[in-house]
Amino acid sequence: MKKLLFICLCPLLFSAYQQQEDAAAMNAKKKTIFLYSFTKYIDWPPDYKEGNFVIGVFGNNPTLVSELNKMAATKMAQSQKIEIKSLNSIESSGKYNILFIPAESTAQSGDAIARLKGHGTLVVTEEKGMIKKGSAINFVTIESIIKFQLSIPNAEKQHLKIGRELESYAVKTND
Amino acid sequence: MINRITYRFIFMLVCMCTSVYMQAQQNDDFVTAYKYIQLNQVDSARARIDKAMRDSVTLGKDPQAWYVRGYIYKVVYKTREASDRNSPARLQAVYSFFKSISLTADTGKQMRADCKVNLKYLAARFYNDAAQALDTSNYKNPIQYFAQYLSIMKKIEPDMSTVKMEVEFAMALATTYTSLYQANQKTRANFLELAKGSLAKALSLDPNNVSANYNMGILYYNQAVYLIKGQDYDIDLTSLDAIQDNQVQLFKQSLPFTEKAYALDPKKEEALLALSGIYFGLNDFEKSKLFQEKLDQLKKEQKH
Repeated sequence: MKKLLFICLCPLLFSAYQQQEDAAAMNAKKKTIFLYSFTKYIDWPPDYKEGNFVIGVFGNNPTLVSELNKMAATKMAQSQKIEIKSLNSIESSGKYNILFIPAESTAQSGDAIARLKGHGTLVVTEEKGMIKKGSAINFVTIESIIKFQLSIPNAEKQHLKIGRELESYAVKTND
Repeated sequence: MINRITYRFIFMLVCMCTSVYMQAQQNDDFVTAYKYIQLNQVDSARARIDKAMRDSVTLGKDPQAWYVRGYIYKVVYKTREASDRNSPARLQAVYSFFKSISLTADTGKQMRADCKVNLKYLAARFYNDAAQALDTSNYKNPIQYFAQYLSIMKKIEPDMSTVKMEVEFAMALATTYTSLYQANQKTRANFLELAKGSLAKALSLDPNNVSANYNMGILYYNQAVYLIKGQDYDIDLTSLDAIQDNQVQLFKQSLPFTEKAYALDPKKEEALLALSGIYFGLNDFEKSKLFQEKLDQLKKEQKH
């Protein structure tokens, strides 16, 4: 009798390794949601409400810039169009509504926060101790969850008014 | 045209059925059915064998008559319904061969063996149908075909292990469910659970299966990533907090499966990449970097 061969399911299995989603893109999305949320709860000085709403990202962070650009293509900051700038240096003459300094670029940012002191720029960082160095918002990870510290005095130095709701989301820490 | 294999079948049939032919030669329908199948006139053979079996109480108790019926229906299946995965003839053939076995006394070892050979053939066809039909547009029938394969094999070869095939099928099914889920993650969450269920079944049968462990880990991992990927930028921070909380749980559920896949196969690049991703998702960047470095090292070694 002719022997019937079993069709092998193995090729199906070998191609069955699931594609892994990009974790870096996931974190970029979270930070983008945070940054976009900040635009809703913070009041900028009048001259920063004119023209584009500029979000500067210091250093080389293409994943985050790409995600921010996706957000900027569909969202507005109140009535302002959102513009994303990838920055290699931070000029004191630059006009940024938000300046984000990622953890990996903190060391290269030097005295950028000091140089922007008094500007209407919300400085957002993600390195321990950055609130003490003048950052208004600093991302922290608590039990694997990204949260943020908020310094009202540092925000006020930048002429920014922080909404109470945003205060309620911030974590209280000593550093 | 009758091919060589069919001639061999008929020769076998003639040898085996001499006794039943002798006993049943008084039954015209049986004799005619027998002649028709020798002439490869399968439809006529089927009609006559059914009439014979219906009308004769004696034939209904004769294992050899059931064998002939099974053989005729098997030929009907092969010649008329081979492309019909729900072939009624195949089911009739299976029924007849089992009936023959059930009526065969211990002395009829050859008859049992011949029935088993035919049943194995039919079981293999069910298995192949399950494998071939398994796609995203048709995922329910293969489960039924595979169950029929298992049911036949467990009856005729109770000591034979079907674990390997059950694991392979469960994993292939999980792949199909995952594809269905990925096509629309918002509305097809049930397929994700089905995929997990299939992999859990594979792991219950073979806990050290590298692919099953890895795929289960990746299912949880991707589910975690998708929780945020599928969100609008407008979600409020309370919702974002809740999503992150869920993500952490999912990454933690992913971890033991992925770690096991890596422990079982330390050369598995995908497992290292996944571990790096899981720890990145848990915001443990040191560990994430550690596994990325291990992956880089492994890739270097494999180049040399």
